[in-house]
Amino acid sequence: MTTRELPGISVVVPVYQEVDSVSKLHQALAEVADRMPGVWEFIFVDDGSRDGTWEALMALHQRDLRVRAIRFKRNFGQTAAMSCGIEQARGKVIVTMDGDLQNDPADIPQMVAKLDEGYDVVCGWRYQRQDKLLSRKIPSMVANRLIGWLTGVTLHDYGCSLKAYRADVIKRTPLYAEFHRFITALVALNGALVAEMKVNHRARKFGRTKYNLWRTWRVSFDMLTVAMLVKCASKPLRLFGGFALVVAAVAAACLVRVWEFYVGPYHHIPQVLPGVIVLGVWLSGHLLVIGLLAELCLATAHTRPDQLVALEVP
Amino acid sequence: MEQQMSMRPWPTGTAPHASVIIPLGPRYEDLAEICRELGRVLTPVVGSYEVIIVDDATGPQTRQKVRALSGQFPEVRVIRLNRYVGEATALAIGAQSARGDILITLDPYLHVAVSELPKLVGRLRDGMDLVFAWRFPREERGLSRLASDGFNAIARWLTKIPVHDLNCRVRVMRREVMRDIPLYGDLHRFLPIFAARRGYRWCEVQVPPQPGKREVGAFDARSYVSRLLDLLTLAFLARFVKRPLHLFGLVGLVSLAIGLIIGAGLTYQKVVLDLAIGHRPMLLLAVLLIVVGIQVASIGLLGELMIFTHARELKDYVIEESLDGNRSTPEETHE
Repeated sequence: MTTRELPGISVVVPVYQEVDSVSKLHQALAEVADRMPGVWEFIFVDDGSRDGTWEALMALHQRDLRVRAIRFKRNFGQTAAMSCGIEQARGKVIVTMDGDLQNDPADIPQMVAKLDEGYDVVCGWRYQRQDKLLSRKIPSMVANRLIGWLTGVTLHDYGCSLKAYRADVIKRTPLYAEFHRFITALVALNGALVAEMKVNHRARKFGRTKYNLWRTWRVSFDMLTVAMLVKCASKPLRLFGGFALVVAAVAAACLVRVWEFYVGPYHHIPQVLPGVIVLGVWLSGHLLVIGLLAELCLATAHTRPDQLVALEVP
Repeated sequence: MEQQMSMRPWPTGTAPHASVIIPLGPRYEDLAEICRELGRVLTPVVGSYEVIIVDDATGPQTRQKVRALSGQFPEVRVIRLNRYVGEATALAIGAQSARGDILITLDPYLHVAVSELPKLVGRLRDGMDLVFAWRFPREERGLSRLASDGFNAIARWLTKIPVHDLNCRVRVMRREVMRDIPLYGDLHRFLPIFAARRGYRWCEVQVPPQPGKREVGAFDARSYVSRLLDLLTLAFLARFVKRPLHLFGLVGLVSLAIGLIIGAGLTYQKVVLDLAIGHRPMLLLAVLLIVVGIQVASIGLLGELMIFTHARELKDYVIEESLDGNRSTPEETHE
């Protein structure tokens, strides 16, 4: 082969302090790739490791030209690494996975086959999770339920990094902050067809898990944001304006009540009512303005949450 | 250097190695003296360089002087702004048109002697991305010293980045640092902090301050307030730029929750205990907290929407180096 073809499948692996795992992972990936047709590329994004991961990646790159490696200036987080890898990927299919050997590269061919059936996203489902029950499994179960309920995309496992995407779908989805766990909801919002597939999950051999529990409050605010993005889509005024109308209705009811007292025989107005009226008018006005501002924001937007994806038929 | 002399200062010919950017406000020292000094001091360390004077709408007199200056020194380029934009924007404009790989920013009233610059450039050569001067020991005494130290201490505490002299504008950096970090308003003070947070390697170099040069008009009553607001901006931008809801949501929900609890208590008193609550100040407090809570939280959501719609322009990361499988050649892969 004289000229290099564009890769068909790009595997994106964010790694952080994984010096022990990368070469094993590369070996497993290479075995899978060698069995499959097409050109592959493996994109390792080193998220500011300080343990020699980068040197290991450089060695891999020397041995195998399919390996591309990107090194961040410092630790910017998993989502940033993933979004950088996705942006750099050249394949028509992009597979993302963890760098800690908990995902099994042997699952990739099946997932790619599933994409060929016509799905845009195939998510891994770690049906036999090899993690601690209390600190990992239970919080993630609760989170999965909540995400499903808020975003309207029902999956068993949102947290699994092993996912396969059609490149044109995932490249359109902005990925930032700590949004990697909501990526399915965000792509589904763009009209993508999502499938779920059982994948292997192995216990950690090296390193320690990099999640911790106290992040929960931040995740829950992110969840709220994603819920808003999903619910708002293209018409935020309906969301904010809807609340505004409800509040305004309560205020109006109180106003009627006050009027009745005023013209009625009592002439003594319960002082709770004016309070509720002030609250209602104030809030409904505020929510209306926010809704209008949100409309303004979308009107001038570069990326709209619901931007319809014109998919090229494969 | 000889070629440089005969060259027209605007972008023709080979690019100089370094660009010195001087944002020119209403107060400045003898610019010709600075230029001569720069020539004496910089040529041995960086070779060719250019001086970009960003004339921040200073008025006709200065305009004359600057024009004369650019006639006198071929390395001087002048960018005249038609309205006052402030130092940060002036710096950003200067950096945009800079052609050197090394950027040196100076203030025109020479808090630090030009002769100290080689020391800073030397550290950059050691592999730093950004080197800035730390005037030590400080000249100021009393209240303005306290304010200055306090400013730095609060910034350190907010960002956990050990900087000591944010008010000193003498900085030496690689060009990409300035290109990567948006500067506007008064944010140029915080350039070291933003750069450190983006993962650039930085260091401070202690330099003796110029005797008798104090911070000019820096600490009048109005500037205290604006400095405090700058710190608030810093705290917000440093921690929450990509996730406004993490701040607004928390404040809003706490306020809403307290408001609802007070409201529930009052409702209980009204409905079950049959007490009159209309005249209670607590009722007003509950209303206030609920309104503030919902307002703050909804503004946070609006912020999230804004971030989402612009997320692709706001890069979350800085790439140190990359090994590309497809185009890999030995020259490209070495650091």
